[in-house]
Amino acid sequence: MTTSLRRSSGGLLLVGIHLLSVACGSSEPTTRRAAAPLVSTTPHASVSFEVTPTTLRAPRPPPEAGLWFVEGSTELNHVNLSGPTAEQGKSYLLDCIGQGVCAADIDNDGQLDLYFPQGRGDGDSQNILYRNLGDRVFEATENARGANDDSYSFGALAFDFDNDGDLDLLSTNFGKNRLYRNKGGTFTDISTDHPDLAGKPEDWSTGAAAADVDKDGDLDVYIANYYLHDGPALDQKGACRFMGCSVPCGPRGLKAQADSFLRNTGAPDWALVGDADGAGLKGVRNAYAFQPVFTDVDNDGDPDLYVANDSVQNYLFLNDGNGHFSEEAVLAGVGHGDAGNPEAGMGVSVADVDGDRLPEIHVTNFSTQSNSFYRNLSGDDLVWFSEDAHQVNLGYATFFLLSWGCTMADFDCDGYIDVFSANGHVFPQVDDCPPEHIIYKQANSLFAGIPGDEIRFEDLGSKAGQPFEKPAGHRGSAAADFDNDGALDLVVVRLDEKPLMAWNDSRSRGHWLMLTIETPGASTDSWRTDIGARAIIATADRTWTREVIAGSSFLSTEDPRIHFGLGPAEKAETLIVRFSNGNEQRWENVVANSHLRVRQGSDHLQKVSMR
Amino acid sequence: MTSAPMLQAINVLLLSLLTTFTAYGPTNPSTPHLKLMAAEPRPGKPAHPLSPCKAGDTAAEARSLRKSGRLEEAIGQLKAARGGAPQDLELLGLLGLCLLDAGRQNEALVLLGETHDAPRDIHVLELFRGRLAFEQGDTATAIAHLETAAESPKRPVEALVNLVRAHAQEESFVRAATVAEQLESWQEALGKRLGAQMAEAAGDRIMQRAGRNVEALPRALEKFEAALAKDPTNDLLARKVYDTLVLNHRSTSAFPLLDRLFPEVEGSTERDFQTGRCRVIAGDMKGAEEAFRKALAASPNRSDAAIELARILLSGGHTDEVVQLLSPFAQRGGSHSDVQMLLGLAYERSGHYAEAETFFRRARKLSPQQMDILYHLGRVLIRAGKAEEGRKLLSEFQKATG
Repeated sequence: MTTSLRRSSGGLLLVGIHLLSVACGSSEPTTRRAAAPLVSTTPHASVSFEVTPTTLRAPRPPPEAGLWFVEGSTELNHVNLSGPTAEQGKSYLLDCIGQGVCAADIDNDGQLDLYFPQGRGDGDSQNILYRNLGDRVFEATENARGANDDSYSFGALAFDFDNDGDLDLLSTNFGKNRLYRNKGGTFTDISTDHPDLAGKPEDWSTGAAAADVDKDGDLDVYIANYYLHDGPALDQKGACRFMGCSVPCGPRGLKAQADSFLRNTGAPDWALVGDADGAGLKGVRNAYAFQPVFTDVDNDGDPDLYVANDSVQNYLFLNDGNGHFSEEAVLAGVGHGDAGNPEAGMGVSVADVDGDRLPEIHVTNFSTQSNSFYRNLSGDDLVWFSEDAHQVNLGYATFFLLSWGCTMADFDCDGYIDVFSANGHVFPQVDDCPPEHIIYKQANSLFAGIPGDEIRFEDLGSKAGQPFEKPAGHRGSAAADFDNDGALDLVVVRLDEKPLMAWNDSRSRGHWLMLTIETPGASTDSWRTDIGARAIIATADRTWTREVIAGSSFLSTEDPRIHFGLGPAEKAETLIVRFSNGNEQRWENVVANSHLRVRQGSDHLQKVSMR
Repeated sequence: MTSAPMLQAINVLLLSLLTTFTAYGPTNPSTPHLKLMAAEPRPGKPAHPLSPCKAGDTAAEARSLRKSGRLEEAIGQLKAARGGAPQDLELLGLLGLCLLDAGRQNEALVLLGETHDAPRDIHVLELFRGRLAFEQGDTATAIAHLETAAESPKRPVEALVNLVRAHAQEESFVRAATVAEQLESWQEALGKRLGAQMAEAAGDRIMQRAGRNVEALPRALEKFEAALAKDPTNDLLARKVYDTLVLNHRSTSAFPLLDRLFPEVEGSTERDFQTGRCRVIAGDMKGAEEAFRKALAASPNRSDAAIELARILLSGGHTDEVVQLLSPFAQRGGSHSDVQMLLGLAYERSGHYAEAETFFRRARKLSPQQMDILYHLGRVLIRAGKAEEGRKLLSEFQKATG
């Protein structure tokens, strides 16, 4: 970067660029497009359980209303590894980035298990798989049931690459990636069969996402890669400076790596073959990529791809319907911050926040850059976003934070999307040098969607419970209904500490619906989660749209089931499911507060036991 | 011979000029170099017109005021004195330097227009011409004028310090070192003041390069703080420290300087304006809005306060109020590109693309190197149906920003 955006301007402008929203591109006021009901006061039975306090202070009782999470489950008892600890000293960015987490039902028992990549790569540490035993209890499995990658791991993606109905696991690494085939809940390393996916020993892969981009009935994969890490060269270079602190160098000044796109050849080989050229990604400049997410930004029935990149512009790849992409982030207004400057994108989440069937995009950024909220205003053959973080109250509140994992979901089921972000500075060194307001260990953030016509969020701070009080080096996160009570919980990776499991115990939750959307698998009796399917629910005055997504947040995989908060509505008047192959089915008067299995071609909505 | 300590000092200076930073961090290529903001006349001795015969006294007094950082008083006196002695080129040069110190480059440019036929043997005038050329990015012209200024029989410290900067900018490091050597020979006589000037020069230079990397800001702050430590009563240096603190979001350290630099004096709105700036970096947007409104109520022509208030209003979606607030400023000659830019954004956000286009084009004309204007203009052109031109500008933006 050699051109100053504001080289000729005065000092005033810097403050403006850093702090103040001189935001772009919105053509309309930030209002929801559908009428909104009043806030839900519908009671919801809370689950009784024993919380293990992590501090000596007695836990606060849950409030009668509002979002409320409790920290629990000492069963997740491993300490996350990522190179040396902060106390031991992290001299490479490699050791500071941290890991994601994967929520996936590995054994098809209806409960989401947890897979944690571990970063050390010394042969003694390996990725960890916990089985969810129900009743908020997890149990570590022996050797991660075969998925015990002992590389320096960063991310994990659960996806059924061979359409057999089992979720397979991709572990992204500094070094070769590993692909584990799932057969009945145990894994076999088949990485050598997929050399393009495994990559080279010097590769540093971060996040990954899967979708059927060419509509041929199998899942293709996008793997984000960061930079070429060369330890000896970095040792020679010495430390770099950040706001007066001596810190590890990178990523700027280091060689960015090209991302990988793997096209699935399908039956009988199920080979994941590198095809960046065929996908139209070849001419795109290498970036320091962290997290891709597939989402249909223009509602044309095919998965587009958004990639959060660190320190350079983010990418938006629009799909022409055949799995061929064109990069249009700048035109669409999702490449940069509100002042037209590239930011340091970390994690990404997508959801239709305003009920117009188009997904908004939320990107977490570096400190002194607010997180981004790109409102989707597409229409008339134009993909168009407006960066509205300040307008929706996600601007100043996130300015000094460094956020990673993130989710936009309706945690209190009131019908309005809430926003979660996992926070913690990348450099432990910031605690020993001047920056004010910037500290290494940070508390997580939860912004409640405020009911009403305008999109607005309220920063709940610690009002949402203990998981939002305690500062830590938070990194990847996943929102998922781990206890199957109809409310999304959170699991968050903490560097050098045990993971944070935040159970959602909000008392005054609204009504909800959970959908598992499936499509036929490879064999006649197998069904697989239909990644890319979209469900639209309508009540008398509201419409909600959700997608089935594999790969999001930060280096993580979240709940593959679709979750709707319905507020006071006791039923969905219509439910439309658009499967990934474009077929649509419609149901009416779907009663709330249940988990339903939707199978393509079947009119029957199968109720799934939640316990 | 250059002594070892001086060589070390030169090395430190040159190193600081050359250092590039690759540290991880927020890329903000939009960081401008530090420019002191135009301030209102500081309350104190009132400016009064002088007869031409008093011009020499005025120059001496203005120099003294300038040295102690009381720029607005110096400017007021010099302007008044020039009313009685418009041909006095020394007063003109001195006024130009004060304007540059105060960041009032536009006024300095107007002043330059009066110097076309001026001789080249007036030290202070040449210094002014050199500094202005340097700030305009015309380093070759700057060096020519500064070299003339450096021929002064008195010790031309300021000319030489600026010459070091200019040579370093041209990457003529041997010449820069030679000039620095000359400065070194006066070190004993000048003592701490030279050290302060050297540190200040290093800080200034880093700020000029900060446009490329926000990571340079703390280093510039270190230099300014070092300079202030050597010359603690210099309010001009204190102001540089303060401005760099604000740019670094160091509100806790910036707030205490408010009392020193901007005392609460009846009739002055500077304190309110600066309080607003500090509150912005502290994240207290309501407090900032209140302070900027207060400054504007007392001094409705303060464009800087209007710009800052407009940013806050725009963040809150109050586009109508932004238009109402800034339109009078946009109609004035020499309007700041920020005014045009913010109006463009306000119109864009309210869906008035034609108006937005007009203002973005005006902003671009005023600040052609400001890439974010290109970004917004490109996007608004697409919304306005001028897709081809819009795409072209966005492509240009992408190339320029990498």
